[in-house]
Amino acid sequence: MSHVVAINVEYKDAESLKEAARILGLEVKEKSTYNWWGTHVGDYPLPEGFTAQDLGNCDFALAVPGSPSAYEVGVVKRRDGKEGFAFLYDFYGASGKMLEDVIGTGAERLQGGEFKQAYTVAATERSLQAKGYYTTREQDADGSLYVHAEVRR
Amino acid sequence: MSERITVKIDPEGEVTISTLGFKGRSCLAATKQLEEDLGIKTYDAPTAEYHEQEQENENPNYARR
Repeated sequence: MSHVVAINVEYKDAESLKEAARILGLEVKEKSTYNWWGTHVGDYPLPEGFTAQDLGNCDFALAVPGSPSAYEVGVVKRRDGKEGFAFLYDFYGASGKMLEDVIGTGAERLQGGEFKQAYTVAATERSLQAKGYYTTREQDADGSLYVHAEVRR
Repeated sequence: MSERITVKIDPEGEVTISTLGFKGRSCLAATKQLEEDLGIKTYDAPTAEYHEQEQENENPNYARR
């Protein structure tokens, strides 16, 4: 029997997020605070469930390599009742611009395209391997990636 | 035929999971954890092979016709 399923991906796995961040050119820093302007003035949106007092704290941070003065992305567990992670960031001033140049205006590079694909490939492999599958990757000419999984005999 | 799961992730990160070679409804169980790990299921449909095997299961003579 066979079936086809489509999934709306959510960022649930921290290790897969870290792998995707590295592919995007970001450095993963295991720390509980991230660099930002320091005062929330309302120019960048807060994820649902977060307040200005939460800014600056994170589960881990994503940094621009070789730019210690650049602001960072704070990766935090969601507080909207759903499983997974959200991003905190601030693009103010020259330090913010350095981060914005990497993750895009509005941080759209963290929400789709290359990052989402890299995250999903990593999360797919981790999930299937945890269930005992042997996985291989294949890339299509249109840029699609395939993860093939078979039970190891 | 060996049991196989194929996951397609397109350049925008859109995901399609397909299965091949599973007996009965075991394919549903095989992908359940993966679906939960990745996000929210937006579409789920059996393939032609699914319907063929369902008919075989209901009528043992189906395969010989």
